[in-house]
Amino acid sequence: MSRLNEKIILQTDSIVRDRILAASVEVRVVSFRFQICIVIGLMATVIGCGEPNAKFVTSDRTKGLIKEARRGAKVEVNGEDIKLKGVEDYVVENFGTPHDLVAWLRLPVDFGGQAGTVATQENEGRLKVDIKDGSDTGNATLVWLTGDSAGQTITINGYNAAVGEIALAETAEVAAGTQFVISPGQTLADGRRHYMTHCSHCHGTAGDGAGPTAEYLYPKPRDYRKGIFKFTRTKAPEKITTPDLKRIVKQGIPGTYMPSFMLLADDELHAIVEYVRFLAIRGEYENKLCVELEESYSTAAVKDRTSNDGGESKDDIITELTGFLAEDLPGIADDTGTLLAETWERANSEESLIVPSIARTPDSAESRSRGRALFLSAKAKCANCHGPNGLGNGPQTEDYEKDPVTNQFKPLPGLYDEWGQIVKPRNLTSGIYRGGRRPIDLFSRIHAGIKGAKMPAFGGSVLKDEEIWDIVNYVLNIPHEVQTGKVVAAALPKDDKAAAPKAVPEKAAASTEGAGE
Amino acid sequence: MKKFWCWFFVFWPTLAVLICLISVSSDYRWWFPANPAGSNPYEANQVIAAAGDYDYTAASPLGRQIDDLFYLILLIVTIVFIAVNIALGYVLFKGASESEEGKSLFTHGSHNLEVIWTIVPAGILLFIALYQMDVWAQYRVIENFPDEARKAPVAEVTARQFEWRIRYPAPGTTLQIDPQPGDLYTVNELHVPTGKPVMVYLRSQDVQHAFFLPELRVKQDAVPGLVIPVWFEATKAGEYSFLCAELCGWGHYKMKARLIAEPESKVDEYLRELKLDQDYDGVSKPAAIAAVEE
Amino acid sequence: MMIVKRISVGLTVCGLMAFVGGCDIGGGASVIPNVTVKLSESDDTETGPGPGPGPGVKSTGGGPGTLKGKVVFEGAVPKLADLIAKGGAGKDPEVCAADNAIPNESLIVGDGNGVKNVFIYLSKAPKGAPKTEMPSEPAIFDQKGCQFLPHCLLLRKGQKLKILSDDPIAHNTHTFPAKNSSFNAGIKAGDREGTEIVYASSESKPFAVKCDYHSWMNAYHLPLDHPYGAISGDDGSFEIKDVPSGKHNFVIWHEGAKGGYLQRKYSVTIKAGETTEVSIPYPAGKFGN
Repeated sequence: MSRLNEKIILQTDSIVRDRILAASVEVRVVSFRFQICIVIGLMATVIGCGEPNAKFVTSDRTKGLIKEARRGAKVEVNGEDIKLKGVEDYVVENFGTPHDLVAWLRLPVDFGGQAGTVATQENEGRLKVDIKDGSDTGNATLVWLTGDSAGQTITINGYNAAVGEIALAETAEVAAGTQFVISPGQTLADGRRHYMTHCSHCHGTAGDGAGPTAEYLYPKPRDYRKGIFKFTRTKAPEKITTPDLKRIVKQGIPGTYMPSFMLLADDELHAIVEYVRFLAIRGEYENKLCVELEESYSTAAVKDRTSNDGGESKDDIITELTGFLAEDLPGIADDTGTLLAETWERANSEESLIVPSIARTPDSAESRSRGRALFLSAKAKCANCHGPNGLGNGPQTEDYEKDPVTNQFKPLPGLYDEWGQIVKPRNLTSGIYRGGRRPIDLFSRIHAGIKGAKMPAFGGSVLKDEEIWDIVNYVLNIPHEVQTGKVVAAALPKDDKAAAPKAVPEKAAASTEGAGE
Repeated sequence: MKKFWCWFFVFWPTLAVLICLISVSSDYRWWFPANPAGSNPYEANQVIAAAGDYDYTAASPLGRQIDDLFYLILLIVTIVFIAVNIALGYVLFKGASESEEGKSLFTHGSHNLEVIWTIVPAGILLFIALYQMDVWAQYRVIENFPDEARKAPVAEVTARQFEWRIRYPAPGTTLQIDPQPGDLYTVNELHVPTGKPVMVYLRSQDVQHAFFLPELRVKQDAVPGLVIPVWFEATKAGEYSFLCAELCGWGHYKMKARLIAEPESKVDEYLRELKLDQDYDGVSKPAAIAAVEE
Repeated sequence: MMIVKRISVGLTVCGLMAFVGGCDIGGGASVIPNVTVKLSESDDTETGPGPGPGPGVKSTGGGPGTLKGKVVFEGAVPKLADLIAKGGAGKDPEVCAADNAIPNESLIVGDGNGVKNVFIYLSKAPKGAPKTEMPSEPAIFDQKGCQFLPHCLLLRKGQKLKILSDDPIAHNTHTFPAKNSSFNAGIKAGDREGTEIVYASSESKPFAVKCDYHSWMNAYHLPLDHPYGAISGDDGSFEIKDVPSGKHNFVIWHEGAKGGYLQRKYSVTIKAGETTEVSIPYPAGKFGN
């Protein structure tokens, strides 16, 4: 009996043992495969996919156009297929893509490189040239700007600044007086790299103010594509100057998420600012081309035109559009480039800068009380938005604005800026001045308003320069007046009493009556 | 196999000690923040100075005292570390070389040994605690701050994501806790006079940051809601790092500023220029020219 | 032994990963972009006859003609409530709506159901049209009693525009053009000299002009680079003289129409020396605001 049992046990054992062995082999095989999967997965995350093919984001306005307006159309002319360019094609042709930028020399942007003129041609491989403040280079590319080979590139072996000679790598015949640029686009390329490192996570690759960090920020980072910057020292219709941009980048904007980049080296700062201007001009260019087309060729407009009311057929519209793309758009695109170049060039000129006609009125109690009177007056209406005590809670902040295009009321009360955000009038008691705290900065804010926001321009007609200085003196004193509990007595001029708004604080009204004249 | 583990556990501490010795050498220079004497660490094309030029002494007297403490503790700890690892090695090898036959020694422990190796480390730690008390008091107890620093704080430093906002008092006045009309404001650049103790008021506008001057061995957390006085003295003129040492957000890594220590006359000159710039009304002569003419 | 094997395999793999990951495969923010240079001078670009969609219509020769017409409202005329009742202004009530209520000007119907303030214009100058001179007088844009006068203004691109004020209070005129840069400035009380601005580009449809202080105030401006446009008057009638003969597509736009456009392409053939009379219907269903 026991021997039989032993045999059975032994046999059972062996069967079980075999099964266990088999199973463990499987387990090992499965777990090994599993390991491989984990390893490959981890390796992939560590290596990554490299930088994806970076693109400048297409603006929402462009996306609202029909396909043919955006990307052009093909037409057959005399048996040949010609591609007509659409909005996106023009933008890419003149500004490029992030990895293949185009330096359009018409624009007043410093693209970099060394520009010069050919003096004489020593021999086939050597040129004597005139470059202002040149520095030695080694192997580089040279682009001819004028002459027969305008637009073509040539490699050079080097430029020797001391002697003023360029050694060409290939033979070429060049007339004297031909203009050229060595390593053009160097500043633009540097600007792009530094911009991506420091700026793009808030401002976005195309400067659209919608980088990954932007969704957590209020106020939102600037969208450059309208070409509008809020804090400038230029007159109301003008664009921002390059020194203004440098100042903003260096000092930051207190009260917002824009930090100070004080520690950037000068050449980095220059490259970044030029790249920002490049992006702003690019955005404006795209916008302006869209505006030409969107009235008739946006998806909404085409829907309207092909509806029962409109009565047109899609084919007719496309034919009309191709005619426009062929005949009109090239000229418009060219003119837009020239217009933008002029506008941005003018911004950096002396004539667009705000220069007060008189020096600042010395800060005194009289000046401040005049300033306060103006602040409350019906002439300037500062209290309308900023509130009678400068807290930024004036009656305008509770008013519902109407959208200028649709004529519908906006959803929330308050003042909207041109980017569609609600912006509050500045709380002047905080002592934080976003555009700078120098008297000239405050003067510029009042004189030219804040571009893109609801602060209007008062300079020139409504307020004279002396009056603006009085207001500046008053405003600079508001944070301290709140602290020490003093209320500057308002001496309202007699004429304004009739039109004074009801929100004059009691203390000031009492002292006015008490002061008398 | 046993011998393998013995060597394994003796190898790593030895390697650690060797690496520490090498890293301090002139080739690797992994030591205290160094002051490359005279050169600007932020210039784009700075030439890395030759090894001999590096100066590891703290740029402030208190910093040197802190370094001395560090060396003391390092010495104590190194001796203990090496002793302990030698003991460990001895025990391991002895155990490994004994044969596996026979019963192992069973002991109830030694009361005396336990007392010794409790009292001795406690004594060492107590010594360290008492030895460093006066440096701590000098550094952290407000009543012990040097009088001239306490009386005339040189600036208010407000940390903000991700920059340092500096407020100087108007030239000729004392810094008040509340902003005064003539105060001068700037960002990311703190100028202090050398050779005398100075104090700053440290604040934070949003989250926790830390005021960190590595070469001067100064570190103090900036806590939102508190105004914390911090004093230090820069012995030598130069441009020092001024960093944030408390994780404060995505930009913490680049929350750098400049500490510029210079003779008092130069600090005054800088403040005058700052005042001219801050009072610039667009019409008067540019600040730089006016400053030179003064 | 198995464990040791596994651990060493694991360590090798981790090491490899770290090594590979450390290499900058694919780039990152350090990708150096290529830069191509585009010269400043444009290549052969034919500038078309001007902005605006649709190919220019060729003039058929012969002299110019006149377009005359009337915009007629079809259907029941909706009664619109006043924007501000008399004395009911929230701001500056001593001046705004002090004497009269401020009406809703988005639909003004006069004699014979004629609709006022409808823009009739050509989107761009016809090909071959003669060059017309800019009017020497500036266009006038005034405001009184917190209302803009005129409510609708047609002017030329490049023509001076004077913004005046006849009110004893400050106003803030803010324009919202599509192509031009916007203007936003305070206008001082009783400014009879005026602030002068110029629209540097023509627009393809009228844009709103508002006062930021008084949110009910609005007007519409349309700068064109040709004179072939008109705004219908109190009785809905309009007249455009000296239109080059030929077939033209006029744009009919009204602020109250749904989407703005009454007709995107109103086809009219102008005969030389003759007056073409049209009646433009404004169906009640088209009024949206």
